Amino acid sequence: MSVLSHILREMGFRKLNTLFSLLGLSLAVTVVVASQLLAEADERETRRVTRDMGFNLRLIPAKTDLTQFYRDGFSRHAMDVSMLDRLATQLTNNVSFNHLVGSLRREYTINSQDVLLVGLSETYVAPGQGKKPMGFVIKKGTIHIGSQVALVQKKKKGEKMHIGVREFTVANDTIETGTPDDITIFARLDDVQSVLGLAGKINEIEAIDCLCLTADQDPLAILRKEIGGILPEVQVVQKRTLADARAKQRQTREKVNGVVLPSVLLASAVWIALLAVFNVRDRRQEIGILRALGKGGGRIAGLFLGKAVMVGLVAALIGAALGTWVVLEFGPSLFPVTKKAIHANWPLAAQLIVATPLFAALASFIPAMLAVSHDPAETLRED
Amino acid sequence: MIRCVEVTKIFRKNGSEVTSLDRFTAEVAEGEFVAVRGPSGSGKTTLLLTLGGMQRPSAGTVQLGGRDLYALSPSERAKLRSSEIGFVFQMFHLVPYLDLLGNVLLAYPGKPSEAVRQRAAGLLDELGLAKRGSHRPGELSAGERQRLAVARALLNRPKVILADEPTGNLDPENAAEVIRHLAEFHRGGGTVVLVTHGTAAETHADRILRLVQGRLLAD
Repeated sequence: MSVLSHILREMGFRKLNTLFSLLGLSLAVTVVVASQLLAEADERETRRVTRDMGFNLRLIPAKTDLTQFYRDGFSRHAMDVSMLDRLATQLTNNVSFNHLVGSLRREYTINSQDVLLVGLSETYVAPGQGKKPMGFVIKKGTIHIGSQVALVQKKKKGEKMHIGVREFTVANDTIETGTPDDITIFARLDDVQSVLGLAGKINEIEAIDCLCLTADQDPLAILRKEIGGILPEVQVVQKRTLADARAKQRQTREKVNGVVLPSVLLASAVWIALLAVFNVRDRRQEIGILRALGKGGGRIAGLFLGKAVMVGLVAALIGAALGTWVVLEFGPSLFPVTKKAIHANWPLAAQLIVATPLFAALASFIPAMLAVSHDPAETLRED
Repeated sequence: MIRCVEVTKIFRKNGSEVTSLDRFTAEVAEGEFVAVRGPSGSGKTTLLLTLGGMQRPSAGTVQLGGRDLYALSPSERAKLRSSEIGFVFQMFHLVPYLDLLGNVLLAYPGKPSEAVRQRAAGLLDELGLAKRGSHRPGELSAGERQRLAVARALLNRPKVILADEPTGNLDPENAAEVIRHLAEFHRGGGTVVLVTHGTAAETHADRILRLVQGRLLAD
């Protein structure tokens, strides 16, 4: 009789042991798959949500008076737009900042209303991270206006509005934000440069830090050193509270993921090992008679390890399918912002289909060795 | 066929020693039917397991067909057990999840050929179990289970059958039936060592060895 046939018959006979092994391991694989997929979704969501919290780094001309800067909300000094290009060429995954946007900000008066006029460049991101703009995309010839601007100027989405001699189309529905954005007009950088007569100039580069640094690591010193090495002509201002909140959120998530996965693996290993020990105990007489019939240790170990491998294989298939289903079913409601990015992870499933049987065999190794080293004479003399 | 010289087996447990076999010396010739009798705890089962290469003695040598059993490696000993020794135990020791045919075929080393399967089926037939080939041991009576154990012991055409109280759990009718099959094996030239504290086998045995406290009293 082949080992496989032997194993299958034993599994069919000891249904409860097999079922519990299968359940334990399937559950573990389900949790591994689901937690991995949810962790990926969580990371995307965290990135997106924290990104949408806004830029937390402001790079302004070095000679800017910070008192004036904080009072007015922008620097009165300008710098060449080539500095943005210089910084953008240094964007890699090894620097602690990303998402560069050059801007030109000035106060401006339209029909007796003092507004803030902001021109925004395209967004520069590190290679391999896509090129998704922060906030919104502004098309040429269009503007996004704040709620107070819309109220005073009596403008709505789709209507024309003049800024100086240039005519723009209002591209947004306005909402009240309770921030200076309510008195701001956002336009493309080149449009604002044209309106202000400051071609090729910006007065700020906004950026976002890497989500990895917390206050205790003195992130500002690290960022100033990195950016100062590239652009000595700027000073770096950080919105500390925002940066810390982002970093802490990410680190908390990483810590949770770091605890959940090992705990699940450990618990399932103990579960499988215990069931294998019970199985060995149940089969002491069988082991004895197999020995008496001249079966070697390899065959006996093979019965236990083979069973673990088979249970592992079936559990991996069940768990991978179940874990994927759970995430596809419930993930979108947990992560509404990035729900479209939630997909099955087939490479992970394939890895688990290989790894789970090995994991189960490893967990059953000690019980299998107990079976092999068991003295058959002890059970054969029992009556 | 079997030669034991000064075989001693001492069990050590919780600091105390129990001598189960005490300088046991005896020979069993090829084709001989030997019954080993003695009270409970006299060392009969230990002797049988020692003769079968299942229990290394504390001292002395056991030879089977001229080979020192315990000088062989474990795998050589396992191979020898598989090809030359058949075991029958009082508690049957059948594999509960295999059907009758599967239990008999379990004794075969490797993948059984069609001829081996036919022999297994033939043995079940001879032992009156042909109609129950697809049943499991749990569905059999005690007598049927022991006959199944005998069929398994006979599959590889062993030279010797070591039977440990094979009738201990059987009614007289079934006990006689099992002894009859062992006697048939003996008549075919096989060697039988039968451990018992009953008298059922005495009419078939060529010789009776009496054990008391691990020592051979009479031969």
